[in-house]
Amino acid sequence: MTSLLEVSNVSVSFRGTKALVDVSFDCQAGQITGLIGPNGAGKTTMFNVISGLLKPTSGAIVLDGVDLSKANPAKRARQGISRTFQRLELFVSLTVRENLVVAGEIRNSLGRGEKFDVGAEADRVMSLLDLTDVADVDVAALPTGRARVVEVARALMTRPKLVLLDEPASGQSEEETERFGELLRKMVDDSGLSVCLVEHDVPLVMRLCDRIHVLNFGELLASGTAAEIRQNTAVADAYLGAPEETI
Amino acid sequence: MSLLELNNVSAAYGTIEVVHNVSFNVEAGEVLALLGSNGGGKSTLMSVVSGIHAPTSGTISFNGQDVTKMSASERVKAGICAIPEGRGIFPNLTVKENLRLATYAGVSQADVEAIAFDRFPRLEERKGQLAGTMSGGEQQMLALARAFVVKPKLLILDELSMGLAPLIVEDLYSRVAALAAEGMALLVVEQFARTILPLANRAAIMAHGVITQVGTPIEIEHALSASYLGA
Amino acid sequence: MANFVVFLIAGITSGVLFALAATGLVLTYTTSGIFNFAHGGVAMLAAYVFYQMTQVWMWPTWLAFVVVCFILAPIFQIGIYRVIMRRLAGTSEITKIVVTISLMLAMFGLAQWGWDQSTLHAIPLFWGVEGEWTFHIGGRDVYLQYFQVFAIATALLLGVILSILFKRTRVGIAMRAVVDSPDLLKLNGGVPEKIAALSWAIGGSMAAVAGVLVAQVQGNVDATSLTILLITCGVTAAMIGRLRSIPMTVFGGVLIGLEMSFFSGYASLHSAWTSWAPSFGVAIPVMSLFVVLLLLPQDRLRGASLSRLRERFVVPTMKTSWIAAGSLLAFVVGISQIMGSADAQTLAGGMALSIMALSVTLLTGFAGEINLAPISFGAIGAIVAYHHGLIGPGFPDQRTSLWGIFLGIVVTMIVGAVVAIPALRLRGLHLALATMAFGIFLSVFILSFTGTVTIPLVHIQLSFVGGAMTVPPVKFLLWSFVSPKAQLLSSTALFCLLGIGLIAIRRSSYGRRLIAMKDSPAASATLGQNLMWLKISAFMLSSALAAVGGILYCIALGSVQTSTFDIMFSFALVMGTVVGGIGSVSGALLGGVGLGVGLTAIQHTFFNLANAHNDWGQLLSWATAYHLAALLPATIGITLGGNPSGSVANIVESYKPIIKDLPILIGTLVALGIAYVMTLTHVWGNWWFVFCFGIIGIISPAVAERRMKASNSQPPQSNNAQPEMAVLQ
Repeated sequence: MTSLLEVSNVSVSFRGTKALVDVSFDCQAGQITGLIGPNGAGKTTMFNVISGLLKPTSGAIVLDGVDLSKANPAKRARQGISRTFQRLELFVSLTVRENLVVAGEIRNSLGRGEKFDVGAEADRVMSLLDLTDVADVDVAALPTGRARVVEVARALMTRPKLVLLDEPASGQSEEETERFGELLRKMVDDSGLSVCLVEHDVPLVMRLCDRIHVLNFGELLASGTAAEIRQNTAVADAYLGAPEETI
Repeated sequence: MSLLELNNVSAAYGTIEVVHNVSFNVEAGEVLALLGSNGGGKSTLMSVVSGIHAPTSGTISFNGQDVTKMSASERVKAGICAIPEGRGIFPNLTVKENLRLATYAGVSQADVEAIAFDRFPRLEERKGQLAGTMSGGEQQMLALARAFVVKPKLLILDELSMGLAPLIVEDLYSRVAALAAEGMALLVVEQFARTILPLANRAAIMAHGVITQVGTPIEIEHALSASYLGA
Repeated sequence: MANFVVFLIAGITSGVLFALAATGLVLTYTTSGIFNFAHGGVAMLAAYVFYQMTQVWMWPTWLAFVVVCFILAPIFQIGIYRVIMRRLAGTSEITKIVVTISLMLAMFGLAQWGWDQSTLHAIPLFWGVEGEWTFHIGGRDVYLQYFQVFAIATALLLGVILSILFKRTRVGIAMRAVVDSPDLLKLNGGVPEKIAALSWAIGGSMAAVAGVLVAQVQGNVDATSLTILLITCGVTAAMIGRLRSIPMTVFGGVLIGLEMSFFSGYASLHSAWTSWAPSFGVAIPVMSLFVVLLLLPQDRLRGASLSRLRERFVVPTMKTSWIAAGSLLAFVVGISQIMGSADAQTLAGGMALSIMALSVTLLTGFAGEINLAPISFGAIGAIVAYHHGLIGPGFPDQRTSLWGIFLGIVVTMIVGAVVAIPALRLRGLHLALATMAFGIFLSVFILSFTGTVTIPLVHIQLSFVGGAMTVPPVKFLLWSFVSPKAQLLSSTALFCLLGIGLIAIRRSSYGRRLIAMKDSPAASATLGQNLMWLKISAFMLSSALAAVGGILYCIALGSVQTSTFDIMFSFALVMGTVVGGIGSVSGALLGGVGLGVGLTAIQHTFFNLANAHNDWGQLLSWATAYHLAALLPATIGITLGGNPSGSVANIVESYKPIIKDLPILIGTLVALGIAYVMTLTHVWGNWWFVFCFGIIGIISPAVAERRMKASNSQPPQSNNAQPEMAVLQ
């Protein structure tokens, strides 16, 4: 088993406050890797570092053996990293279909992998993620839950090696979340996609992820399978607060 | 009659509704804890109660008065004090200047400082310092000091503990417990369930824009450990 | 040494005044989030009102000063905040910018209305030129005017009062608090709108003091130079303070004052520089502004600050575009038959402006990059074409060759890229200010210079020889487009083609990428888009459009001067385009033609009527109507906050009922046809045609809407029954 993404010793500080402290972890190819932790633990900061939007104070990012520590976001995308955003970053003047098409067109112009028919690929991804009925709707008119799925679809249009999903279930209803989880699992199993998932819905993460890394106050608190994380009392404390003697 | 009553309140950002038909009450002197994962609509609901965010439908009454159309500043005068998510302070003002703004609620400057510095001696040491340069715990002390000074009928706390170390969180909540002991009603959103539940009279879980469960702290604690850890 | 002291005193005097203006600007920006381009306009109006009071009504100086600066200006500013600025929440940066620019243009209109711009409005110094102390330095007399001491003392006093306000009073502390978080202030019990209104009032006072005192330094009130001076110096100082820090803003103001004083002072002493010296005045602050903007730390790549703006634009299909283009051309061919050549010439100018407006549509509407100086780019194209494209014998048989036009386009594209490269780091307001600096620099420095300016290496000339130039009509292969009608038709055809091209771009992969960059640079970059090349290419394409429009515009005007390319005119074009609809080709048409033709036509009509009927009394006269008409576009611009998508959308919406209602549609067309034929056969004059056209244009949609409402109010089953019966039969 080789690791697809290696994050080594990443630290970030904003004006003296430390958002990430010497964090190292990896994502395996063909797996769903979970990145969890309480609010303010540094999960989104970590995604910004991996995708190149934020320059870390120190540390290295290696994808598939290529050191991307100094690369800009576009170069990282060319190497096969794709992402969604916690605060939605859709192209709000465009329709759902156009959002996907423009992503495919950008990808085709990068000269990575074989070019594909963007329209057909958009149709395929939309039917995969149940977006066909809203294909020609302006994304600005979609409810948050659907809009998040559009972001995932757009990220998939670049045929990435690794896709970073930042709270894809937030704003979705319970049934939508359930269905989304199944789809994600199926895509990973069928097409060999690799996923790194930041999510507050812990049950979802526990169900879906092959491996989980827990961040707390910018530090890596624990790593392991869902079962191992569930046993970890430090993780439970981080999530629920320090245990009281009695409740 | 309850102190705070929400009837079928919905709230939206643009066309997107994030709080759906929520109803609940807070009794005078009661501590109600509101729990649940992120993106569930808790913070939006708190903004609706404090008057920052206008609801799309439903009514809010406070102390027997319909406050649905009231602005946030009028609600302050009616007796609601809210400490919002993030740090509830003005980072580019000094500690003294931050406290000065608490006088909008109708307390004199001298009283404000006397009470705040008596409760939080640390703040007196730092009164000339820019609030944004203090530690996170001290910033939240300053935010909380406003509640001590203003003595509202209802205090709303939204994620007071965010990004703070456990010991500091414990200290802050011991202050909150003191406020509750004085008979102030509290509506608290908190991710650390084990910290807030011992203080609470009742607790509720909010997910996907609706309140899914209301019960005693013990019932909610059981429901939560099950759902957080996916057991 | 003596010179040094003289320049130092003068520099500090104007410096503290700039600092005052800039501080007011920073204050209003931080408390309300709106960067007020009209700030300089308030200062200018204050100076005029002060002039009126002291020179015409003969009020005592001190009384006029107090009334203007501390009563009228604050009230005026509170009105502006209440009526206009508060409604701008949730609109895009360009809408906010255009609204305040419209406001400034409206103030300009007011100044022109109230005070005849062709005469000098002299303001004597407070204590006269005699009021001064004399010192001897290095064997020379050095004068320190009482006025200079007064100006510096006033600025210092205001500074002290402000700092007490900010540090010691609750309302002052709240003004600083509102910058951190308006919501938190509400939760404390404060009312941010009141705080912001007060800060606008104080900002107005500071602008007024600066305006009145700077006018004293200049010796007279002049709308253009005073506004430009205060905008450029105020904005530069404010940017040195990064729109946040008041001490740094004050420092910036004094720095600019000293720079200007020393540069123009020493330059005027050296014979080699004398021809440049007068231009240094405003060129120094705009160059400083450009440098300051470039030194700003780069914004982090981020998404749109508001994920859901109120603006919405529908993209037409290619088929619709061709039909619309064909209709426009047919319409223009039709009316050109009944037009006089002067009118055709004016309309040709309007079409050329519309082509320049297309450059705004592409760059701002599609790519989201703001350029406030489109006409400056047009100027470069026209000047290069003039210097390098003339063929044939002398005037009036000279022609502009295609080679000249080509060269003009290429040079403008290169200039566009050169401006874009430093601008790559800038977005939104900062980019708008950088392009404004470029535009002002070009018009007050390069184009005002009476000698020859040549771009090195390529030997391309870029100057006005003798302060004016005449760009002759185009010669294309064997055809020359000399007559006004030929110019009108060729410009219209070109606009149609370029408009269709623009829609094709919008529907292409390239267009989608521009929109994607505008909506979320962060998402574009993480999908792999190279934002740098996308931005540069958009700037170059937009420059090319501006160059084409600029050349045609100069040809339509005949003779052009430096003032043709004034930054105010660029502002008006951007305003017109945004009012028409920034995301659409039809918006560009409305903006360009509206600016070039509508305004001229309305003004001419009223102006002639005013001359003919001079006896109506002062207020209610054709002259009043003329001035009101001049204010009209700015007024529409100001109301943009209510409908940020532009007016074309509204117009189209109001005409929809006609298209659905066949009898009315036919009736309208027949009526228009009759009016047209009557005009063509000289049964009546073409003003009657315009009149009928207007009446029909207003009545028919109203009638159609009534009929539609009437048919809708009928019981629904009668509508449904008919198709069913048809099926049965």
